[in-house]
Amino acid sequence: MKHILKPRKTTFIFILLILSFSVNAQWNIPDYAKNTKLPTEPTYKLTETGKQLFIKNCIQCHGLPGEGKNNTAINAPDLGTADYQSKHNAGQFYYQFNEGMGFMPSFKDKLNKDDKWSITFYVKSFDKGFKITGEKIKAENCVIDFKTEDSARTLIATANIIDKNGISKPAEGVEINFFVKRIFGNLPIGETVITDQNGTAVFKFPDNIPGDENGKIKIIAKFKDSDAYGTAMKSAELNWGTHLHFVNPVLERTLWGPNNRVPLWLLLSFLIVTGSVWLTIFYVVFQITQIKKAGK
Amino acid sequence: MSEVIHKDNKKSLSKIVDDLTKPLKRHYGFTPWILFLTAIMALGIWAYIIQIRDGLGVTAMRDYVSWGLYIASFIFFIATALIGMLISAVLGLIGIKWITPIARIAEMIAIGFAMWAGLIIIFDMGRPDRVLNIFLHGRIQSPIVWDITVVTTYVAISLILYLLPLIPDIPFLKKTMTDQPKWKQKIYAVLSFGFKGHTEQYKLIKRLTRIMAILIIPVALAIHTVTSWLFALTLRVGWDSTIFGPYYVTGAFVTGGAAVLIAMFIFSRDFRLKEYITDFHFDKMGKLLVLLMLVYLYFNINEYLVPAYKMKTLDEHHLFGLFTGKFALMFWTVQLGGLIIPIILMLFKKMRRPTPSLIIGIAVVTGAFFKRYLITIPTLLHPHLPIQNVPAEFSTYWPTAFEWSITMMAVAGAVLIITILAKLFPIMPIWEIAHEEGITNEEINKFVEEKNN
Ligand code: HEC
Repeated sequence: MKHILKPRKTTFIFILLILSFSVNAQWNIPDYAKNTKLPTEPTYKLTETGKQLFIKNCIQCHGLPGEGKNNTAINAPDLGTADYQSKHNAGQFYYQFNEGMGFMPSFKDKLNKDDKWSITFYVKSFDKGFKITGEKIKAENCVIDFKTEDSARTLIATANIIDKNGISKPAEGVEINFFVKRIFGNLPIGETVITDQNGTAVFKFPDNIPGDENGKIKIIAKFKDSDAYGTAMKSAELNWGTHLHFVNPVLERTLWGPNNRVPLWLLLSFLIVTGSVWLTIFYVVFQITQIKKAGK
Repeated sequence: MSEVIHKDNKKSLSKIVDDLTKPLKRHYGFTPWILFLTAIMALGIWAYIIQIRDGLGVTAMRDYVSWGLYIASFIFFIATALIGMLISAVLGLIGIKWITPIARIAEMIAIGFAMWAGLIIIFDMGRPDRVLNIFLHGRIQSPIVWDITVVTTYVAISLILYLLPLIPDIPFLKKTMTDQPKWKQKIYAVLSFGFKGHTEQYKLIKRLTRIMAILIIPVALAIHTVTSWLFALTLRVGWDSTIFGPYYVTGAFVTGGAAVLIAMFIFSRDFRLKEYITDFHFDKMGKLLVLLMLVYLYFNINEYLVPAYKMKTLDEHHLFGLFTGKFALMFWTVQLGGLIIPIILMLFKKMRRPTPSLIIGIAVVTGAFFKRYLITIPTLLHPHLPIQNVPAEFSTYWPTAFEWSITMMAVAGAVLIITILAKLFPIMPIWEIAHEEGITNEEINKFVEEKNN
């Protein structure tokens, strides 16, 4: 039992304690924060954006809300618990992470207002009483497609969402990634593109991607956020790749090759050396048979 | 000095011929000796049959040590064979006279050991029946193909270089060996190639010998350099060295030089040729051996000191294994007893006399054999990836009785070839010795014909 608290660990915890006491360990949320007016209606679309931002900025300490994967060593709480949600409304939450405290950094200058509100809507979406409007995207209802413009090597991707009535509507602000199929998995190429209000995004295909001997290449388009939009994908085979000149080293003349692919310099040296030595030997043997003649 | 000695007590042609052909007829101790060699070989053949039947599992070679006693002996045999080139080609071409009575002995050693070196590679093969595949499917990129090519070439050149100076000796044999079995006489008849002692014929033979002597120098260097490359072209600790070629070549001269000393002793005593292989020859050969050993010592210092100064991690395991570890006893015995002490001793004239020469020669040859062992095995016990999760026997190696028997068969086989050659043909060129004694071709021809009548 005495081994559980190792000296090093104890000192570490000790320092943390001192640190957490030395900073003001109390959240001081002014009353006005509670009454902050929401700048826009919270929509599902905004919570989606908020989720992406949360993943980028907060997840390493807090984990995804409600999953309990928060970093307890620095006392960062899980923000999805019913307890936290019931005690903090959107305005208070916004105030907390905008200001920061102790190990909790301030995001005042790091994110713009829209982004901070998206995060707020996302985190508050774990509060059952928090009302979110707009349409909730269902992954299976999202479709991806692209057209090619050969002359400019351009890909025009379209993202659509099919609603309850089976009508397809363009999806705006959806991130789409392009890949090239390689032997082992898909190689991401270029930057992520975002669809405009018509649900289309333009992607300029680079001209230095190696294809097969004919320049054939398989291009794949996917939604970047597969959680929200699903794993729908679209692929096409194009000959936009560079032509591959594959020289099989096994077919070259090498030291490790089989006998019929011996390097020429070696073959020549071997033949010249052995040949000249054996020619001399044969010459001498022949001359030995001439000894009798020389005696006449 | 040598010329003076020879001129002081001139030998007559009939005495020379008598001295050199008598051993071919006189056979005391010959039968027991041949029986002894055959017994060793029979044991080896039995061991080899078992090895073929049960596979290479009867050896101590396992996954890590996959080159064992056989390959170590292979290098040793090639090394011993190299002396033929140094003595009959290099020294002969510079015109050094004292080698005349020992050049043919060196050539015999070369033939015996080079031939068996080729066989040892086959002993090391799990499927010797597939040996032809090396020629059919061998890759020219592979050092083993170079090695097989160059070993074959060296054996061929050594044989020619042995036979060529033998031709002018055949007339002597034809005349003196009339009481010998028919098959021997047939061999002599074939090998005379119609030689009649004509000046033109002498000229031709000398010219051809010269060509072969020049040709054998690069081939001999190649044979041992390629052998060293079998090791040095890998990335293994202890083998990955740029001086491995010259290191092997000089090591080979040391081995062969010592082997020649041993052979000189045995032949001069057993064949009663002390008048021809004198203390003077032992002294000269001893001096040559000291020079060769010093050069070899220099390469040894480079080969061990340079990596030891840097002590890369893997080198460290390897070198400490040799200096203070598992192999330390063998390593220091070989380096001190087989190299450093012989060098110091042979600096003294007294130690270059026949009997001390024989003892030192044996020490050097034995040391050289185990030196090849130390080059081959410790490296294999230090693979790049640590040895783990394998049976305990994988991480050690000591040759089994089967390996020793087969290796001893190779040694006996090489000695047997030398013995047979020494019994079929004079071990020294009668005609060259006669020429050195001032005897002319006319006198030789007259002598040969006289006897005939
Ligand atoms: C470096 C880690 C870290 C990051 C990043 C971080 N927080 Fe915090 N947060 C904390 C810690 C620690 C606390 C607890 C502070 C205390 O109570 O002492 C905290 C507290 C909070 C609180 C108050 C919780 C309560 O129980 O009163 C809110 C709201 C909050 N964070 C929101 C956010 C948001 C939104 C983000 C992203 C935009 C974020 N935090 C990013 C560490 C972090």
